[in-house]
Amino acid sequence: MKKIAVLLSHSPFDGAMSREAHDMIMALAAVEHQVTVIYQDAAVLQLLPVHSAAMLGCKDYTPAQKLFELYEVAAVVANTSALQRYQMVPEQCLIAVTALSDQDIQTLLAQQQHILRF
Amino acid sequence: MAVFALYVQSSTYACPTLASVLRFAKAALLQHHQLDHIFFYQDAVQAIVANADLPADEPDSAALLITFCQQHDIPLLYCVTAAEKRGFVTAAAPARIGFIAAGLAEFAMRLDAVDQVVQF
Repeated sequence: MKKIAVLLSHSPFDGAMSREAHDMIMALAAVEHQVTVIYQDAAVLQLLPVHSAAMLGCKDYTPAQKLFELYEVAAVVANTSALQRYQMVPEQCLIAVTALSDQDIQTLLAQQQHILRF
Repeated sequence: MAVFALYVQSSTYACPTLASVLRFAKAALLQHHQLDHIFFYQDAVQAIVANADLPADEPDSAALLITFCQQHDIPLLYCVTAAEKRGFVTAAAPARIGFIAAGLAEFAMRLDAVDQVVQF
């Protein structure tokens, strides 16, 4: 088992980047790695519920984030400054997140054995 | 000596990604490190296309990488789901010889034996 951080930076429908990142998160967690998911920059938008999925023109994969808990993802973190930039608060998010500062995220990353960026 | 995994997810078309992977792989072995595997995911799976029609004046970096990996017994894995979703591999058009179909679970399991993951 490794401590692995998955760092998400892209908005939710920016190609397959975020959708396939979620697949990777669940695969890593399924084989019992200790996975920390970190939403930064526009990736915090992945945490917002999509109200008109039928209008999207592509599959709304974002509800699958609710499976992170089932897969025992160790921690889900959102960058405080990114939340502020997009005028979001953790209570709006689809799943429970811990808001952390840039410095706290740096500390968290230093504790990881592997980091994957999406 | 460390055990490396090379994880490739950026585009491999008309950019030096594969050349960078190969350069890193050669340097790692020269320094007596071990390469556990190379794994292709996301848009990088385009590298596995068997029938790409490369212009004569462009290097076939995938071929160079395949040859290197075969010489050094390094598994050259790709996410079969990512490749199938993009239409890069079908029953009628299998992946280029040298690439091995794998899943995210296999990549995840292999990380247990890896000291460092380098992402391209």
